[in-house]
Amino acid sequence: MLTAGEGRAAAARARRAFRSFPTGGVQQLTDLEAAVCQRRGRPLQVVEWPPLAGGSVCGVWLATEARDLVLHAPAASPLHAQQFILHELAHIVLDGTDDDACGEGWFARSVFTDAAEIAAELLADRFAALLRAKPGRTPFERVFG
Amino acid sequence: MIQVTIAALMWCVVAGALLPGVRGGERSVLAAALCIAVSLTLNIDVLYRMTDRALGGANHAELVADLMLMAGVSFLLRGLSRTTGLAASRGERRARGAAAGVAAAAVTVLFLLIRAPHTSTRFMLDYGAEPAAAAYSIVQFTYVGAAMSRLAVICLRHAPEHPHRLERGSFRVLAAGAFGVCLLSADIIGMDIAHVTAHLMTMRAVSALYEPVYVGAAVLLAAGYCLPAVRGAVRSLRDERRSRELAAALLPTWRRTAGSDDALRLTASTARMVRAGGAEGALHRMVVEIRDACLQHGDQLSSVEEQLLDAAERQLLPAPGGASTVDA
Repeated sequence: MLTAGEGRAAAARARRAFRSFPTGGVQQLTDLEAAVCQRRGRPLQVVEWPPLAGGSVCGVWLATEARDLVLHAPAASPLHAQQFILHELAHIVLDGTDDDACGEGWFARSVFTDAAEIAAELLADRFAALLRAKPGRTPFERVFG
Repeated sequence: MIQVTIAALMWCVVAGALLPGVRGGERSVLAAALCIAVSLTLNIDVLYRMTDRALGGANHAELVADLMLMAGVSFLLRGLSRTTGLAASRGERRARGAAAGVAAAAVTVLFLLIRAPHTSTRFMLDYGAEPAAAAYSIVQFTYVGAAMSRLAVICLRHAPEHPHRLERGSFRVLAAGAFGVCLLSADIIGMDIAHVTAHLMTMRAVSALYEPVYVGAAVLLAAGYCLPAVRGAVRSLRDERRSRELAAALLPTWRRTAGSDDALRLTASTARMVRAGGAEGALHRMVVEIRDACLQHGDQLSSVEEQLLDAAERQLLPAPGGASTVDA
């Protein structure tokens, strides 16, 4: 379990990363993936990977030289599956904005006992809030509403 | 009277944006409304005199009001840019910030060069013959006019892309208001030039436009701002209530599953999160943590709990996701 200070630092990191991310046109998960892809300047592939089913790890980000690959476990719940993906996208975004990021490599979503995982999950929650646009809740309403 | 009415209208816009349930991650437009409302309030003669007296009686209230107007315009442009669905590039954001900074600095320096020792509610009429005062006003309204013309172009360019008639209408009304401010800026600059060059007849002729354009632009901008805000407020309040009900119903399930495992929880108290962070955010976290607990611990849910979770997900999830590939 993190200390309160570490938790606050993780929350601040997620908040900074969200604020610096261009969320203006994001309404759906594919928009967010496209925005992440554009920021990284290389292809991003998101794949449901059945071998992750039933294990303690439900999402993985692999950063190869050529592309970013997000593997996630299948889930009966669409919201849960979306969270797996958002968590890995959050790691990618944090990697591009944090001074103390881990750089190229891999991250796995399992439990939230370290600062990097908590920051990624908090950023994933912010992305989820962004995607929670009801039909008709457009960028205009997000700004003016 | 017009000054009071317009300022009151602007404060209504601010109050509307602060209504419970009105939300949005982007607060630039609220900041814009606040700055512009403060600026317009300082245009009310009685309040201007009181404020200026508190600031030393040398018309510093004029500078404060004008800088607030410029800040408001800058915030409005930033907020509007984000509604277009395209975040401005870092270069464009920097250029916009630099333009605002340079204009504010120039206005401040020029103001300090004006010899205006006595409080005046007719600042430009009394001191506009001074070149520094004319330059002060010209720089200010060149910035305001340029920013509002950019805003009007953004509104008109993106209005047809918006799916709802109300939004398209709001964009067009905002564009009309922004064009009104451009016209007002040109009118003021014309008056400044006529004044400083001592063409007083021309100045009086040009000034006839000022009041109707000022009122028209303010009403159009306020209307364009308020239309979607009212609809958004009603919908947000309804969604918030439904999410709160679902979060309360799911709380026992969350306590039984994720609530007992520190490694699965992001927050020590979901109840506190519901109070602090909005019901939808709390409901989302509860659903994710309950699902995580089922996955990690094999916790079983009753059919009633499953139905509640499904209802919560329907409330939260706009559309099913899926595997995809995106190329840069």
